[in-house]
Amino acid sequence: MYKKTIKQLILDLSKKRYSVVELVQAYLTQIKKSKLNAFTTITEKSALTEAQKADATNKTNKYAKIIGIPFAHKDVFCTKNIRTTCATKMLKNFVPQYDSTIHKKLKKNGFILLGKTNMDEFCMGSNGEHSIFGSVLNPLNHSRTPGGSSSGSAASVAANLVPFATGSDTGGSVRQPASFCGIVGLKPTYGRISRYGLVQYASSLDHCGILAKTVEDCGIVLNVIAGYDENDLTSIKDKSNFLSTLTQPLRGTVIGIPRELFEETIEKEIFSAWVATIEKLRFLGVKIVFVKLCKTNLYTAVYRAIATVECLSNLARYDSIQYGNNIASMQTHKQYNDIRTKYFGLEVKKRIILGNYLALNYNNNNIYNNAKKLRIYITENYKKTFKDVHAILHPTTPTTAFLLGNKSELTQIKADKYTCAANLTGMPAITIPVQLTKQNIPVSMQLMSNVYQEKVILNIAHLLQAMVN
Amino acid sequence: MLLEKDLHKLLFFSNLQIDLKKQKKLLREINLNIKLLKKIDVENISSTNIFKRTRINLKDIKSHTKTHNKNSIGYYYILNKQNV
Repeated sequence: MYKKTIKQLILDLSKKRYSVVELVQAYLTQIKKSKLNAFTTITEKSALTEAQKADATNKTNKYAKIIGIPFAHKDVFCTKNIRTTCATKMLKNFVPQYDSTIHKKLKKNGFILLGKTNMDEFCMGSNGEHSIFGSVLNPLNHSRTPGGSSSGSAASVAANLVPFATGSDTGGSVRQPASFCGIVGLKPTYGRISRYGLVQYASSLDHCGILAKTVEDCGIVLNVIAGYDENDLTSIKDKSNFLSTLTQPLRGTVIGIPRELFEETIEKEIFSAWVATIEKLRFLGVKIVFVKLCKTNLYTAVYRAIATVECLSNLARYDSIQYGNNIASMQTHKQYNDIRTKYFGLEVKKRIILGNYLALNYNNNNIYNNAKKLRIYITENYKKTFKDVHAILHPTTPTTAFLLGNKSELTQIKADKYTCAANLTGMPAITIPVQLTKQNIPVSMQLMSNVYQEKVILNIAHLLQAMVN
Repeated sequence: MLLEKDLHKLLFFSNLQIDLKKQKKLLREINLNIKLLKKIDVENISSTNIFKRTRINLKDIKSHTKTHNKNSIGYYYILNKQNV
Protein backbone atom coordinates (compact mmCIF):
# COMPACT_ATOMS: atom_id res chain seq x y z
CA MET A 1 0.00 0.00 0.00
CA TYR A 2 2.94 2.36 0.62
CA LYS A 3 3.74 2.45 -3.09
CA LYS A 4 0.47 4.13 -4.03
CA THR A 5 -0.27 7.71 -5.05
CA ILE A 6 -2.41 10.07 -2.98
CA LYS A 7 -5.36 9.58 -5.33
CA GLN A 8 -5.15 5.77 -4.99
CA LEU A 9 -4.82 6.02 -1.20
CA ILE A 10 -7.93 8.20 -0.94
CA LEU A 11 -9.84 5.67 -3.05
CA ASP A 12 -8.62 2.72 -0.95
CA LEU A 13 -9.45 4.46 2.32
CA SER A 14 -12.93 5.36 1.09
CA LYS A 15 -13.51 1.71 0.14
CA LYS A 16 -12.13 0.66 3.54
CA ARG A 17 -9.49 -1.66 2.04
CA TYR A 18 -7.32 -0.73 5.03
CA SER A 19 -7.49 1.72 7.94
CA VAL A 20 -5.48 4.93 8.38
CA VAL A 21 -3.64 3.31 11.32
CA GLU A 22 -2.55 0.40 9.10
CA LEU A 23 -1.46 2.84 6.41
CA VAL A 24 0.56 5.00 8.82
CA GLN A 25 2.15 1.90 10.39
CA ALA A 26 3.15 0.60 6.93
CA TYR A 27 4.90 3.90 6.12
CA LEU A 28 6.57 4.08 9.55
CA THR A 29 7.95 0.57 9.06
CA GLN A 30 9.39 1.62 5.70
CA ILE A 31 10.94 4.75 7.23
CA LYS A 32 12.60 2.71 10.02
CA LYS A 33 13.92 0.15 7.54
CA SER A 34 15.33 2.79 5.19
CA LYS A 35 19.07 3.51 5.14
CA LEU A 36 18.83 6.68 3.07
CA ASN A 37 19.20 9.06 6.04
CA ALA A 38 16.19 10.96 4.69
CA PHE A 39 14.62 11.86 8.05
CA THR A 40 15.86 14.07 10.87
CA THR A 41 12.84 13.55 13.14
CA ILE A 42 10.16 10.84 13.10
CA THR A 43 6.88 11.77 14.78
CA GLU A 44 5.67 8.19 15.32
CA LYS A 45 3.62 8.73 18.48
CA SER A 46 1.66 11.76 17.30
CA ALA A 47 1.19 10.19 13.84
CA LEU A 48 -0.43 7.08 15.31
CA THR A 49 -2.67 9.15 17.59
CA GLU A 50 -3.77 11.27 14.62
CA ALA A 51 -4.34 8.10 12.57
CA GLN A 52 -6.70 6.71 15.23
CA LYS A 53 -8.63 9.99 15.24
CA ALA A 54 -8.80 9.96 11.43
CA ASP A 55 -10.16 6.40 11.42
CA ALA A 56 -12.89 7.43 13.86
CA THR A 57 -13.80 10.48 11.75
CA ASN A 58 -13.83 8.47 8.50
CA LYS A 59 -16.15 5.96 10.14
CA THR A 60 -18.70 8.45 11.46
CA ASN A 61 -18.69 11.00 8.61
CA LYS A 62 -19.95 8.80 5.83
CA TYR A 63 -20.20 11.49 3.17
CA ALA A 64 -17.37 13.76 4.27
CA LYS A 65 -14.03 13.78 2.50
CA ILE A 66 -11.53 11.10 3.41
CA ILE A 67 -8.75 12.15 5.81
CA GLY A 68 -5.55 10.51 7.00
CA ILE A 69 -3.02 10.79 4.15
CA PRO A 70 0.53 10.73 5.58
CA PHE A 71 3.25 13.19 4.53
CA ALA A 72 6.60 14.63 5.57
CA HIS A 73 7.84 18.21 5.96
CA LYS A 74 11.22 19.47 4.95
CA ASP A 75 12.91 20.38 8.25
CA VAL A 76 12.64 24.06 7.41
CA PHE A 77 8.93 24.50 8.23
CA CYS A 78 8.07 25.43 11.80
CA THR A 79 5.94 22.84 13.58
CA LYS A 80 4.61 23.55 17.08
CA ASN A 81 6.32 21.43 19.75
CA ILE A 82 8.21 19.44 17.08
CA ARG A 83 11.93 20.12 16.62
CA THR A 84 12.78 22.22 13.53
CA THR A 85 16.51 22.07 12.91
CA CYS A 86 17.17 23.32 9.35
CA ALA A 87 19.97 20.72 9.51
CA THR A 88 22.17 23.22 11.33
CA LYS A 89 23.92 23.11 14.70
CA MET A 90 22.56 26.60 15.33
CA LEU A 91 18.96 25.30 15.57
CA LYS A 92 19.68 21.76 16.70
CA ASN A 93 17.43 22.09 19.75
CA PHE A 94 14.97 24.63 18.38
CA VAL A 95 11.33 23.78 19.12
CA PRO A 96 8.98 26.37 17.55
CA GLN A 97 6.07 27.77 19.53
CA TYR A 98 3.80 28.04 16.48
CA ASP A 99 2.87 26.16 13.30
CA SER A 100 3.77 27.38 9.85
CA THR A 101 0.71 28.18 7.71
CA ILE A 102 1.47 25.30 5.34
CA HIS A 103 1.48 22.86 8.28
CA LYS A 104 -1.66 24.39 9.79
CA LYS A 105 -3.55 23.94 6.49
CA LEU A 106 -2.40 20.34 6.00
CA LYS A 107 -3.27 19.46 9.60
CA LYS A 108 -6.68 21.10 9.31
CA ASN A 109 -7.42 19.02 6.21
CA GLY A 110 -6.58 15.75 7.95
CA PHE A 111 -3.07 15.06 6.61
CA ILE A 112 -0.79 13.23 9.06
CA LEU A 113 2.82 14.30 9.64
CA LEU A 114 5.22 11.33 9.77
CA GLY A 115 8.37 13.35 10.31
CA LYS A 116 10.78 16.04 9.19
CA THR A 117 13.17 15.37 6.32
CA ASN A 118 16.90 15.97 6.02
CA MET A 119 18.22 18.85 3.92
CA ASP A 120 21.22 21.05 3.22
CA GLU A 121 22.01 23.42 6.09
CA PHE A 122 19.68 26.46 5.86
CA CYS A 123 18.74 25.27 2.31
CA MET A 124 22.24 26.15 1.06
CA GLY A 125 23.53 23.46 -1.25
CA SER A 126 22.65 21.33 -4.24
CA ASN A 127 23.70 17.86 -3.15
CA GLY A 128 22.22 17.06 0.27
CA GLU A 129 25.67 16.77 1.79
CA HIS A 130 25.77 20.00 3.80
CA SER A 131 23.77 18.66 6.72
CA ILE A 132 24.74 18.08 10.34
CA PHE A 133 22.82 14.78 10.13
CA GLY A 134 25.02 13.48 7.30
CA SER A 135 24.48 12.98 3.58
CA VAL A 136 21.23 11.70 2.10
CA LEU A 137 21.50 8.87 -0.43
CA ASN A 138 19.73 8.75 -3.78
CA PRO A 139 17.26 5.82 -3.58
CA LEU A 140 17.74 4.97 -7.26
CA ASN A 141 21.53 4.80 -7.08
CA HIS A 142 23.29 4.97 -3.70
CA SER A 143 26.52 6.29 -5.20
CA ARG A 144 24.73 9.39 -6.52
CA THR A 145 23.46 12.49 -4.77
CA PRO A 146 19.68 13.02 -4.43
CA GLY A 147 20.20 16.73 -5.15
CA GLY A 148 19.37 19.55 -2.80
CA SER A 149 18.45 21.31 -0.77
CA SER A 150 15.20 19.31 -0.36
CA SER A 151 17.28 16.11 -0.49
CA GLY A 152 15.41 14.18 2.22
CA SER A 153 11.98 15.11 0.85
CA ALA A 154 12.87 13.93 -2.67
CA ALA A 155 14.57 10.74 -1.47
CA SER A 156 11.67 9.83 0.85
CA VAL A 157 9.03 10.23 -1.89
CA ALA A 158 11.13 8.33 -4.45
CA ALA A 159 11.77 5.50 -1.94
CA ASN A 160 8.04 5.24 -1.03
CA LEU A 161 8.59 6.38 2.56
CA VAL A 162 5.80 8.97 2.19
CA PRO A 163 3.28 9.65 -0.61
CA PHE A 164 4.31 13.32 -0.76
CA ALA A 165 6.56 15.80 1.00
CA THR A 166 6.89 19.56 1.21
CA GLY A 167 9.99 21.46 0.20
CA SER A 168 11.31 24.97 -0.19
CA ASP A 169 12.74 26.32 -3.44
CA THR A 170 15.12 29.31 -3.52
CA GLY A 171 17.11 28.54 -6.65
CA GLY A 172 15.75 25.14 -7.65
CA SER A 173 15.76 23.28 -4.33
CA VAL A 174 12.50 21.44 -5.07
CA ARG A 175 12.90 20.81 -8.80
CA GLN A 176 16.57 19.76 -8.88
CA PRO A 177 16.25 16.98 -6.22
CA ALA A 178 12.92 15.89 -7.76
CA SER A 179 14.72 15.61 -11.08
CA PHE A 180 17.66 13.63 -9.61
CA CYS A 181 15.28 11.22 -7.84
CA GLY A 182 12.84 10.78 -10.74
CA ILE A 183 9.72 12.29 -9.13
CA VAL A 184 7.51 15.33 -9.76
CA GLY A 185 8.46 18.66 -8.16
CA LEU A 186 6.24 21.74 -8.27
CA LYS A 187 7.22 25.31 -7.43
CA PRO A 188 4.13 27.55 -7.72
CA THR A 189 3.99 31.32 -8.26
CA TYR A 190 5.62 33.52 -5.60
CA GLY A 191 2.91 34.14 -3.00
CA ARG A 192 0.69 31.20 -4.01
CA ILE A 193 1.66 29.36 -0.81
CA SER A 194 2.20 31.34 2.38
CA ARG A 195 5.80 31.47 3.62
CA TYR A 196 4.79 32.15 7.22
CA GLY A 197 6.77 29.77 9.40
CA LEU A 198 9.32 28.93 6.74
CA VAL A 199 12.84 29.54 8.04
CA GLN A 200 14.09 32.18 5.64
CA TYR A 201 17.16 32.06 3.44
CA ALA A 202 16.54 34.70 0.72
CA SER A 203 13.09 36.19 1.26
CA SER A 204 12.42 37.47 -2.26
CA LEU A 205 13.45 34.14 -3.82
CA ASP A 206 12.04 31.67 -1.28
CA HIS A 207 9.05 29.60 -2.43
CA CYS A 208 7.24 26.66 -0.84
CA GLY A 209 6.93 23.62 -3.08
CA ILE A 210 5.57 20.09 -3.33
CA LEU A 211 7.31 16.80 -4.14
CA ALA A 212 5.06 13.90 -5.14
CA LYS A 213 4.88 10.89 -7.43
CA THR A 214 2.41 12.32 -9.94
CA VAL A 215 1.35 15.68 -11.30
CA GLU A 216 -2.21 15.00 -10.10
CA ASP A 217 -0.94 14.49 -6.54
CA CYS A 218 0.82 17.85 -6.73
CA GLY A 219 -2.50 19.40 -7.79
CA ILE A 220 -4.37 17.75 -4.91
CA VAL A 221 -1.88 19.07 -2.34
CA LEU A 222 -1.68 22.52 -3.97
CA ASN A 223 -5.48 22.84 -3.68
CA VAL A 224 -5.10 22.39 0.09
CA ILE A 225 -2.10 24.62 0.83
CA ALA A 226 -2.54 27.49 -1.65
CA GLY A 227 -4.30 30.68 -0.68
CA TYR A 228 -4.10 34.02 1.08
CA ASP A 229 -2.63 34.25 4.56
CA GLU A 230 -2.77 37.41 6.63
CA ASN A 231 0.56 36.51 8.21
CA ASP A 232 2.32 36.71 4.83
CA LEU A 233 1.79 40.01 3.05
CA THR A 234 3.20 38.59 -0.19
CA SER A 235 0.59 35.82 -0.38
CA ILE A 236 -2.00 36.20 -3.13
CA LYS A 237 -5.78 36.16 -2.80
CA ASP A 238 -6.59 34.14 -5.93
CA LYS A 239 -7.93 30.69 -5.03
CA SER A 240 -8.33 28.31 -7.96
CA ASN A 241 -9.12 24.63 -8.35
CA PHE A 242 -5.88 23.32 -9.83
CA LEU A 243 -7.42 20.01 -10.84
CA SER A 244 -10.20 21.49 -12.97
CA THR A 245 -8.22 21.63 -16.23
CA LEU A 246 -5.88 18.70 -15.64
CA THR A 247 -7.12 16.52 -18.50
CA GLN A 248 -8.02 19.28 -20.93
CA PRO A 249 -6.79 18.48 -24.51
CA LEU A 250 -3.62 20.30 -25.53
CA ARG A 251 -4.71 21.30 -29.03
CA GLY A 252 -3.98 25.01 -29.45
CA THR A 253 -1.32 25.07 -26.73
CA VAL A 254 1.99 26.67 -27.76
CA ILE A 255 5.24 25.67 -26.06
CA GLY A 256 8.48 27.60 -26.46
CA ILE A 257 11.93 26.07 -26.66
CA PRO A 258 14.66 28.52 -25.62
CA ARG A 259 17.07 28.62 -28.55
CA GLU A 260 19.98 29.77 -26.31
CA LEU A 261 19.75 26.64 -24.13
CA PHE A 262 19.10 24.40 -27.14
CA GLU A 263 22.42 25.45 -28.65
CA GLU A 264 24.37 24.92 -25.43
CA THR A 265 26.45 21.82 -24.84
CA ILE A 266 24.52 19.62 -22.44
CA GLU A 267 24.83 15.89 -21.71
CA LYS A 268 24.00 13.83 -24.79
CA GLU A 269 21.33 11.73 -23.11
CA ILE A 270 19.62 14.80 -21.63
CA PHE A 271 19.56 16.45 -25.05
CA SER A 272 18.06 13.37 -26.71
CA ALA A 273 15.42 13.16 -23.92
CA TRP A 274 14.59 16.82 -24.59
CA VAL A 275 14.11 16.16 -28.31
CA ALA A 276 12.01 13.04 -27.57
CA THR A 277 9.78 15.06 -25.19
CA ILE A 278 9.25 17.70 -27.88
CA GLU A 279 8.12 14.96 -30.25
CA LYS A 280 5.72 13.54 -27.63
CA LEU A 281 4.21 16.97 -27.06
CA ARG A 282 3.79 17.44 -30.82
CA PHE A 283 1.93 14.14 -30.86
CA LEU A 284 -0.39 15.52 -28.15
CA GLY A 285 -1.27 18.43 -30.44
CA VAL A 286 1.05 21.06 -29.00
CA LYS A 287 2.60 23.65 -31.31
CA ILE A 288 6.35 23.99 -30.72
CA VAL A 289 8.18 27.25 -31.44
CA PHE A 290 11.66 28.60 -30.67
CA VAL A 291 11.81 31.58 -28.28
CA LYS A 292 14.59 34.02 -27.49
CA LEU A 293 15.61 34.46 -23.86
CA CYS A 294 18.10 37.21 -23.02
CA LYS A 295 21.15 37.00 -20.74
CA THR A 296 20.70 33.28 -19.98
CA ASN A 297 24.42 33.06 -19.15
CA LEU A 298 23.90 35.51 -16.26
CA TYR A 299 20.95 33.85 -14.51
CA THR A 300 23.12 32.04 -11.97
CA ALA A 301 25.22 35.13 -11.25
CA VAL A 302 22.14 37.31 -10.66
CA TYR A 303 20.60 34.63 -8.45
CA ARG A 304 23.81 34.23 -6.41
CA ALA A 305 24.22 37.99 -5.92
CA ILE A 306 20.66 38.50 -4.65
CA ALA A 307 20.51 35.30 -2.61
CA THR A 308 23.76 35.91 -0.73
CA VAL A 309 22.90 39.50 0.26
CA GLU A 310 19.43 38.47 1.46
CA CYS A 311 20.95 35.49 3.26
CA LEU A 312 23.35 37.84 5.07
CA SER A 313 20.37 39.89 6.28
CA ASN A 314 18.24 36.88 7.24
CA LEU A 315 20.98 35.04 9.11
CA ALA A 316 21.91 38.07 11.22
CA ARG A 317 19.16 37.05 13.65
CA TYR A 318 21.09 33.96 14.76
CA ASP A 319 22.81 35.66 17.65
CA SER A 320 21.88 33.10 20.34
CA ILE A 321 19.71 35.65 22.10
CA GLN A 322 16.63 35.63 19.90
CA TYR A 323 17.40 32.48 17.88
CA GLY A 324 20.13 29.87 17.97
CA ASN A 325 21.81 27.68 20.52
CA ASN A 326 22.43 29.52 23.75
CA ILE A 327 25.48 29.86 25.91
CA ALA A 328 24.66 31.00 29.44
CA SER A 329 25.39 34.66 30.25
CA MET A 330 26.35 35.51 26.68
CA GLN A 331 26.99 39.21 26.70
CA THR A 332 30.09 40.23 24.86
CA HIS A 333 30.68 40.66 21.16
CA LYS A 334 33.38 38.00 21.34
CA GLN A 335 30.88 35.44 22.53
CA TYR A 336 28.49 36.41 19.74
CA ASN A 337 31.34 35.86 17.32
CA ASP A 338 32.24 32.51 18.89
CA ILE A 339 28.71 31.17 18.67
CA ARG A 340 28.31 32.02 14.99
CA THR A 341 31.72 30.53 14.27
CA LYS A 342 30.94 27.34 16.16
CA TYR A 343 27.41 26.69 14.96
CA PHE A 344 27.37 27.77 11.27
CA GLY A 345 28.66 25.30 8.67
CA LEU A 346 31.32 26.22 6.11
CA GLU A 347 28.85 26.59 3.21
CA VAL A 348 26.71 29.00 5.24
CA LYS A 349 29.78 30.99 6.30
CA LYS A 350 30.87 31.23 2.68
CA ARG A 351 27.54 32.69 1.60
CA ILE A 352 27.50 35.18 4.50
CA ILE A 353 30.99 36.38 3.57
CA LEU A 354 30.03 36.66 -0.09
CA GLY A 355 26.89 38.57 0.92
CA ASN A 356 29.03 40.97 2.94
CA TYR A 357 31.40 41.39 0.00
CA LEU A 358 28.46 42.58 -2.12
CA ALA A 359 26.59 44.52 0.57
CA LEU A 360 29.68 46.46 1.63
CA ASN A 361 30.17 47.42 -2.01
CA TYR A 362 33.68 46.04 -1.89
CA ASN A 363 35.91 47.13 -4.81
CA ASN A 364 33.17 49.61 -5.77
CA ASN A 365 31.65 47.30 -8.35
CA ASN A 366 27.99 47.84 -7.59
CA ILE A 367 27.34 44.19 -8.43
CA TYR A 368 24.28 43.86 -6.21
CA ASN A 369 22.47 46.88 -7.67
CA ASN A 370 23.19 45.68 -11.19
CA ALA A 371 21.91 42.22 -10.27
CA LYS A 372 18.63 43.76 -9.08
CA LYS A 373 18.32 45.68 -12.35
CA LEU A 374 19.03 42.55 -14.36
CA ARG A 375 16.42 40.65 -12.37
CA ILE A 376 13.75 43.12 -13.51
CA TYR A 377 15.04 42.89 -17.06
CA ILE A 378 14.91 39.06 -17.01
CA THR A 379 11.35 39.14 -15.61
CA GLU A 380 10.23 41.57 -18.32
CA ASN A 381 11.85 39.34 -20.94
CA TYR A 382 9.94 36.30 -19.68
CA LYS A 383 6.65 38.23 -19.50
CA LYS A 384 7.15 39.33 -23.11
CA THR A 385 7.89 35.74 -24.15
CA PHE A 386 4.73 34.44 -22.46
CA LYS A 387 2.62 36.72 -24.68
CA ASP A 388 3.43 34.32 -27.55
CA VAL A 389 3.67 30.95 -25.78
CA HIS A 390 1.80 29.21 -22.96
CA ALA A 391 4.84 27.51 -21.44
CA ILE A 392 8.57 27.04 -21.89
CA LEU A 393 10.17 23.59 -21.91
CA HIS A 394 13.79 22.69 -21.20
CA PRO A 395 15.75 20.17 -19.09
CA THR A 396 15.60 20.76 -15.32
CA THR A 397 19.36 20.40 -14.94
CA PRO A 398 22.24 20.37 -17.45
CA THR A 399 23.60 17.17 -15.86
CA THR A 400 22.11 14.04 -14.33
CA ALA A 401 22.57 13.27 -10.60
CA PHE A 402 26.27 13.70 -9.81
CA LEU A 403 28.38 11.38 -7.67
CA LEU A 404 28.29 11.66 -3.88
CA GLY A 405 31.25 13.57 -2.52
CA ASN A 406 31.38 15.94 -5.48
CA LYS A 407 31.35 19.20 -3.53
CA SER A 408 33.07 21.25 -6.23
CA GLU A 409 31.91 24.87 -6.34
CA LEU A 410 31.52 24.76 -10.11
CA THR A 411 29.13 21.78 -9.90
CA GLN A 412 27.04 23.65 -7.32
CA ILE A 413 26.88 26.74 -9.51
CA LYS A 414 25.95 24.71 -12.60
CA ALA A 415 23.18 22.83 -10.76
CA ASP A 416 21.00 25.96 -10.45
CA LYS A 417 21.57 27.09 -14.02
CA TYR A 418 18.20 26.18 -15.54
CA THR A 419 16.06 26.40 -12.42
CA CYS A 420 16.87 29.78 -10.87
CA ALA A 421 15.06 31.83 -13.55
CA ALA A 422 11.71 30.71 -12.12
CA ASN A 423 12.78 32.03 -8.69
CA LEU A 424 14.08 35.32 -10.05
CA THR A 425 10.83 35.94 -11.92
CA GLY A 426 8.49 34.34 -9.35
CA MET A 427 6.87 32.28 -12.11
CA PRO A 428 5.56 28.72 -11.57
CA ALA A 429 7.57 25.72 -12.76
CA ILE A 430 7.20 21.96 -12.60
CA THR A 431 9.65 19.15 -13.25
CA ILE A 432 8.64 15.70 -14.47
CA PRO A 433 10.76 12.62 -15.16
CA VAL A 434 10.70 11.71 -18.85
CA GLN A 435 13.37 9.10 -19.39
CA LEU A 436 16.04 6.92 -17.78
CA THR A 437 19.66 6.92 -18.96
CA LYS A 438 21.55 3.71 -19.74
CA GLN A 439 22.79 3.74 -16.11
CA ASN A 440 19.20 3.98 -14.83
CA ILE A 441 19.51 7.62 -13.77
CA PRO A 442 16.38 9.74 -14.37
CA VAL A 443 16.27 12.67 -16.78
CA SER A 444 13.62 15.33 -16.14
CA MET A 445 12.14 18.23 -18.05
CA GLN A 446 10.97 21.53 -16.62
CA LEU A 447 7.84 23.38 -17.73
CA MET A 448 7.54 27.04 -16.79
CA SER A 449 4.63 29.40 -17.38
CA ASN A 450 3.59 32.97 -16.61
CA VAL A 451 2.63 34.04 -13.08
CA TYR A 452 -0.64 32.51 -11.74
CA GLN A 453 -0.70 30.02 -14.65
CA GLU A 454 -0.09 26.84 -12.61
CA LYS A 455 -3.11 25.25 -14.28
CA VAL A 456 -1.38 25.46 -17.69
CA ILE A 457 1.78 23.63 -16.61
CA LEU A 458 -0.16 21.11 -14.53
CA ASN A 459 -2.32 20.32 -17.57
CA ILE A 460 0.64 19.85 -19.94
CA ALA A 461 2.71 17.95 -17.36
CA HIS A 462 -0.19 15.62 -16.47
CA LEU A 463 -0.82 14.59 -20.07
CA LEU A 464 2.90 14.30 -20.75
CA GLN A 465 3.40 12.11 -17.68
CA ALA A 466 0.50 9.87 -18.73
CA MET A 467 2.13 9.45 -22.13
CA VAL A 468 5.62 8.80 -20.73
CA ASN A 469 4.28 6.18 -18.30
CA MET B 1 40.28 39.07 -6.66
CA LEU B 2 39.83 38.75 -2.93
CA LEU B 3 43.09 38.53 -0.96
CA GLU B 4 43.67 36.98 2.45
CA LYS B 5 43.69 40.39 4.21
CA ASP B 6 40.34 41.25 2.54
CA LEU B 7 38.93 37.97 3.79
CA HIS B 8 39.93 38.88 7.35
CA LYS B 9 38.07 42.19 7.05
CA LEU B 10 34.98 40.44 5.70
CA LEU B 11 35.15 37.87 8.48
CA PHE B 12 35.20 40.69 11.00
CA PHE B 13 32.11 42.33 9.46
CA SER B 14 30.36 38.94 9.31
CA ASN B 15 31.07 38.20 13.00
CA LEU B 16 32.75 34.96 11.99
CA GLN B 17 36.07 33.21 12.26
CA ILE B 18 37.47 30.53 10.00
CA ASP B 19 39.86 27.73 10.77
CA LEU B 20 43.26 28.59 9.26
CA LYS B 21 43.36 25.26 7.43
CA LYS B 22 40.09 26.00 5.67
CA GLN B 23 40.91 29.59 4.73
CA LYS B 24 42.63 28.79 1.45
CA LYS B 25 39.79 26.60 0.22
CA LEU B 26 37.22 29.18 1.25
CA LEU B 27 39.14 31.99 -0.45
CA ARG B 28 39.38 29.93 -3.65
CA GLU B 29 35.64 29.25 -3.67
CA ILE B 30 34.72 32.86 -2.89
CA ASN B 31 36.99 34.07 -5.68
CA LEU B 32 35.31 31.66 -8.08
CA ASN B 33 31.96 33.17 -7.12
CA ILE B 34 33.28 36.71 -7.46
CA LYS B 35 34.59 35.89 -10.93
CA LEU B 36 31.09 34.75 -11.85
CA LEU B 37 29.41 37.76 -10.24
CA LYS B 38 31.68 40.23 -12.04
CA LYS B 39 30.21 39.06 -15.32
CA ILE B 40 27.00 40.90 -14.42
CA ASP B 41 26.70 43.88 -16.73
CA VAL B 42 23.74 46.12 -17.49
CA GLU B 43 25.15 47.99 -20.45
CA ASN B 44 22.69 46.95 -23.13
CA ILE B 45 19.55 47.18 -21.05
CA SER B 46 17.12 50.02 -21.65
CA SER B 47 16.57 52.22 -18.61
CA THR B 48 12.76 52.07 -18.85
CA ASN B 49 12.77 48.49 -17.78
CA ILE B 50 15.28 48.95 -15.00
CA PHE B 51 13.58 51.71 -13.09
CA LYS B 52 10.12 50.20 -13.14
CA ARG B 53 9.20 49.49 -9.54
CA THR B 54 6.40 47.55 -7.96
CA ARG B 55 3.98 49.75 -6.03
CA ILE B 56 3.87 48.84 -2.36
CA ASN B 57 0.84 49.71 -0.30
CA LEU B 58 2.31 51.50 2.71
CA LYS B 59 -0.81 50.91 4.79
CA ASP B 60 -0.43 47.18 4.33
CA ILE B 61 3.18 47.22 5.45
CA LYS B 62 2.45 49.33 8.53
CA SER B 63 -0.45 47.20 9.66
CA HIS B 64 1.56 44.06 8.92
CA THR B 65 4.57 45.11 10.96
CA LYS B 66 2.36 46.27 13.81
CA THR B 67 0.43 43.06 14.16
CA HIS B 68 3.25 40.76 13.28
CA ASN B 69 5.95 39.30 15.46
CA LYS B 70 9.65 39.09 14.76
CA ASN B 71 9.41 35.86 12.85
CA SER B 72 8.99 37.46 9.46
CA ILE B 73 12.04 39.66 9.69
CA GLY B 74 14.06 39.50 6.45
CA TYR B 75 12.28 41.61 3.90
CA TYR B 76 10.09 43.67 6.20
CA TYR B 77 12.89 44.16 8.66
CA ILE B 78 14.77 46.13 6.04
CA LEU B 79 11.68 48.20 5.26
CA ASN B 80 11.19 48.98 8.96
CA LYS B 81 14.75 50.10 9.32
CA GLN B 82 14.24 52.63 6.56
CA ASN B 83 11.28 54.10 8.48
CA VAL B 84 8.75 53.48 5.74
